[in-house]
Amino acid sequence: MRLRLLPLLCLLACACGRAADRGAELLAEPLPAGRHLSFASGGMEFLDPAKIAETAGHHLMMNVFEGLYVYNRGDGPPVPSMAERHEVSADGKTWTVHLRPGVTWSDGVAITADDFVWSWRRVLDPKTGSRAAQLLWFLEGAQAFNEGAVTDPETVGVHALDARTLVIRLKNPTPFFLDLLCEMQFVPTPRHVVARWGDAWSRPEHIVSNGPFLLVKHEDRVISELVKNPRYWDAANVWLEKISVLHTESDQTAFDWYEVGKTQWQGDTSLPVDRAPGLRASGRPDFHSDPKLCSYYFSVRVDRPPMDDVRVRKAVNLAIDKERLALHILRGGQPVATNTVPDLFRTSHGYTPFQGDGFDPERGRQLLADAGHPQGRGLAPITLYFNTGEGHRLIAEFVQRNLQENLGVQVQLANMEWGTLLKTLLAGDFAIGRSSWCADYPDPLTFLEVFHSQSKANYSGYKSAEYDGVLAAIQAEPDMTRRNVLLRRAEEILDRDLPLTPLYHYTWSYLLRPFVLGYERHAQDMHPLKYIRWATPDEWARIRRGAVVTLPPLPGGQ
Amino acid sequence: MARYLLHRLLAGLLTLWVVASLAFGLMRLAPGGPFQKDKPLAPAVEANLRRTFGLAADVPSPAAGTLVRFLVRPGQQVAAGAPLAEIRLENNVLTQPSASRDLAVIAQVGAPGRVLRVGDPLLARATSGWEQYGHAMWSYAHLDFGVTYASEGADTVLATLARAFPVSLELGIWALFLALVVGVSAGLVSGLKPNSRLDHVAMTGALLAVSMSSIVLGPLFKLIFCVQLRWLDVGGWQPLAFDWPHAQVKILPVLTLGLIYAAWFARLTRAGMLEVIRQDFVRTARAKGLPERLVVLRHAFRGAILPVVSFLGPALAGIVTGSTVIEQVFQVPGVGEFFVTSAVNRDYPMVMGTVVLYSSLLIAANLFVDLLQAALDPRVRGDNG
Repeated sequence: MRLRLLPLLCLLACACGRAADRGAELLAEPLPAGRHLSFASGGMEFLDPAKIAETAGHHLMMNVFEGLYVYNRGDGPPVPSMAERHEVSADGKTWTVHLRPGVTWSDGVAITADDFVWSWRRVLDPKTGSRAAQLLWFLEGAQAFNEGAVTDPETVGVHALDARTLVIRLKNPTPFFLDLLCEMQFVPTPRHVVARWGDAWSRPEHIVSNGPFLLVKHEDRVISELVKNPRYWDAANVWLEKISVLHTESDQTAFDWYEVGKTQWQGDTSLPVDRAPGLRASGRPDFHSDPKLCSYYFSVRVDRPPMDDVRVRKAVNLAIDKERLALHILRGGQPVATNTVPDLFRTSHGYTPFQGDGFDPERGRQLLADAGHPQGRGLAPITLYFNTGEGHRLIAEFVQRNLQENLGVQVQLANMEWGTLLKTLLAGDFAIGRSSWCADYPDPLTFLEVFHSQSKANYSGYKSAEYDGVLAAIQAEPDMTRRNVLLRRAEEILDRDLPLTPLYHYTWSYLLRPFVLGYERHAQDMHPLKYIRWATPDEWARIRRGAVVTLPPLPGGQ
Repeated sequence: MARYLLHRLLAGLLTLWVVASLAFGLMRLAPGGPFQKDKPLAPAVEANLRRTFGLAADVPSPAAGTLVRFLVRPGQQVAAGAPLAEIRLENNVLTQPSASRDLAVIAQVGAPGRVLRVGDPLLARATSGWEQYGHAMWSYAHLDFGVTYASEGADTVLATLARAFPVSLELGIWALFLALVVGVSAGLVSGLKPNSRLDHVAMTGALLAVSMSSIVLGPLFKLIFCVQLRWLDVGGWQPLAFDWPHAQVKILPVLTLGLIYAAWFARLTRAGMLEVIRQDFVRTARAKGLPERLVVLRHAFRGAILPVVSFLGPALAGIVTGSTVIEQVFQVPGVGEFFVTSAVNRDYPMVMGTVVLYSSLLIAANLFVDLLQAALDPRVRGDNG
C-alpha cells in the first residue's frame, strides 16, 4: 500500500518545493502576445447597474458602464468621464454638471442629461426594488420617493437644464459626492433599450452601454467576456482588446488558474486561507496586500451588565493585545484598530483619525477594580457571539485568552451562522458580538454613522444626543477643515463612551502578474480596467531587475 | 400493472407534497431571512424587495376620497379594528377605515393628498406564513416555482434549474456509465474468483475509493493532472460539447464521480455474485452441462446484479442531481451548488425548487428501479403482480 502511494507523495512534495523559486519563474515569463486579460471572479448577481450591490458585479460592470466621473488610477481624485466639468454652489448643495459633447451609447444614440435623470429615478423607483438605492439618498427628495411616501419623481433632486446640463440638488453639502458619482447607481442606463427589452435588457444579446468595454458574453457561473468599445469617448487610450472573467466561488480554483497561467490576476476572489501566510512570507513579486476601507470590531451592548459600565468596556479594550493578534493570528499585515475609522483619508480629506488606547493590561485591571471587580471577581462569564468562519473563531479564542489572562474575566464563545448572529445583533440580545463595517462611501462619516442612535447597524444600542448632534453638524458643514474638526470630535466621543471594541482594519491580499501595469493601490479597491496595459519590453526588463514600475494617478476632476 | 403504476404515482405525489411542506416549514423556522446580507437594509428598501417577491400584500382602501394622513407606521403591528388612516370623502366627511384583521405594516403607499378610489392600495402588509404556504403550494401544483431571490426577481427558479440541470445530468450520465462498466465488471471478476490476486486488487481499490470520497479524490486529481502535470483544465463546462478544449474539462469530474460509484457497484456485485453462485439453480445449470460462460451470463449474472439494481435508484437520483463537492472542485455549473447556497442564502423559492427536483427524481428513479427489478427477478414480479 505504502509503495503505491509513493508517487502521489512525490507529487505533493514537488508542489511544496516549487514555491521557493516561483518568484524567479514568474519574472522569467515572456510578455503575452495579445491584449487579452483574464481574471477570476465570484458569480455576479446582476448585470443591471441599478441593482448591483456586491463586489463581483461592481468590478465587472464598472468597465461596461461609466457615470459622470470615474475612479482614478490609484488614489487620485475621480476623473471626468461622461461629464466635462462641474460647478458647486457656495452652500455645497447644488451641483451643475456639464456633459462631455458627443458622448454616445454603444449603438450610436447620443447620451443626454435626460438619460441620467431617468436612470437615477429608476434606481430609486420602489418598483425597481434596488438594494443599493440608499446610495442615492444623498439627493434631495430621494429617500421619500424611494420609500414610496412621495410618488412624484419630479421631487427627486436631479433635473436636466438642457440636453448637456444636469442640475443636482443635495440634501446636505456632501464633500465626497464626486466619489459617489463614480458608483454604479449613478451610471446612466439606456432608456431606449430598457423600453424595448424590459427586464431582459441587460442580457449580452441586448445590452447597450457607454463604458470602455462591451459585455459580449455572460454564461452564468462559467464565463463573461468583454471587448473594447470602439464608440467609447476615450477609446484611443484604452489598451486592452479583450477581457475574460472566469467565474468561480472557489478560492482554490481561482488560485490554481492563476498559478497555471490561465489568469493574470486573481480578481475579486480571496487567496486560499492556508496559502496566504506562505505567499506573504515568500516575497514573491506578484504578491500584493492593500489596505481596505473596512473595520473589524466587537459591538458591545451598552445597556447590559456588566458592559453597561464604561470602565468595564474600557478594561476589555485595554486588555486585548491587538498587535499580537495582527502579527500571529491574522498574519495579513492588517493595521491595528484603536478606533473605527481606517487611516486612509490623509490624501483625500487631509484627515488623520483619532488614536485610541493601545494595549495596557495594567490600566485595564485598575479600571476593572474601580468598577468593583478586582481580578474579575463578581463578574458572571461574558458571552462573545461570532459567526461561522475559521478566522472569526481564532480571533474570538485569542480575545477569550487575553481577557482571562489579563483581567481574570471569563469569556464563553458562542458560534452561530451569520443569519442567526445578525438576528441576535439586531435584537440586542448579547453582551459582545462580532461586527464589521465596510465603507458605503469614501468618507470617515460612513464609519461614524453606524453609531448614530437611529442607525440600524448600531447593534450596541448606543444612544448619545451629543454624538448625534455632532454627526448632524458634520452633515451640514461645507468647509473641509471645519468638518475635519467635527469628525475628530465625533471620534473622541465614541472613544470616551466606547460602545465597541475596535480590533483591526482589513487588508486585501491578491496576486497579480508583474507585467500588468496600471493596477494601482486604491482605498476603495476600485481598479478600472481601462488603465491596464502590459509592461513595455523596456519596462519588463526593469521589473525583472527588481524595479517597481507604477503609473501615476491622472489629473483630477476639477 | 396499470393499477400498480397508478398506485405508485399517487403515492409519489403524496410523498412530494409531504416533502415540500416539510421543506417549506423548516425553511421558515430557520433564523434569518433572504434580505439579510452583510449589512441591515433600510426598512423601505426591504419593503420594496418584499413586495417584489409577494412576501407583502396590499391593504386596499375601502373608501374613495383624499388621503389626509396615515395613522400607522411601517414596522407597526396593528390589531384588527384599529384605524389605519384618515380619508376625506367626496362629501367632505372624514372617515377612518380600520384594519379588518391583525396585520404587520411594512410600508405606506403614497402620501397625504393622494386621491384614492375604492380598492386602491393604502398600505403594504406582511403576508402570513399560511398565506405564503397556500400560495406556494398552489403555484407548485401549476409547476410555477417563482423567481429566485438571488437574482432579485430577474430569473425564475425553473429557468435557473433548466440551465444547470442538463450539466449535472450530462456529468451524471457519463459517471454512471463509467461506474456501471468499471464497477460491475470488477465486481463480477472478484466474485467469480474470490480471494484471488485480482480480487484483492479490485477490492482494495474499491475500499480506497469508497473511503476517500470526492472531497479527497477530487482535489487530488486536480492537483496532479491540472496543477502539476497541466494535462487538463478546470472550468468552462458546456453541455454536449466534445471538442478537446471542452471535453478535457469533463474528464476529471466524470472520473471522480464515476470511480466512487464504481467502487460501490463493485462491492455490491461481488457480494451478489458470491451469494448467487452457490445457489441451487446455478448448480442445476452447471449440472445440465451448460458452459461456464453461459452459466454466469444467463443465470448467475441476473441474480448477482439485483443488489446493484436496488442501489441504482438512490444512486441515479444522487448522481444526476450532481455532487456539490465535485461541482465545486471542478467548477461544473450544475445544480449541486444550489442545494447549499440556496439554503444558506434563504432563497426560499430556490430551496423549494431544488428539493422538489431532487425528490421527484428520487421517486421516479425508485419506481424505475422497482420495475427493472420486477423484470429481472421472477420472485419480485410474482409479489407485485
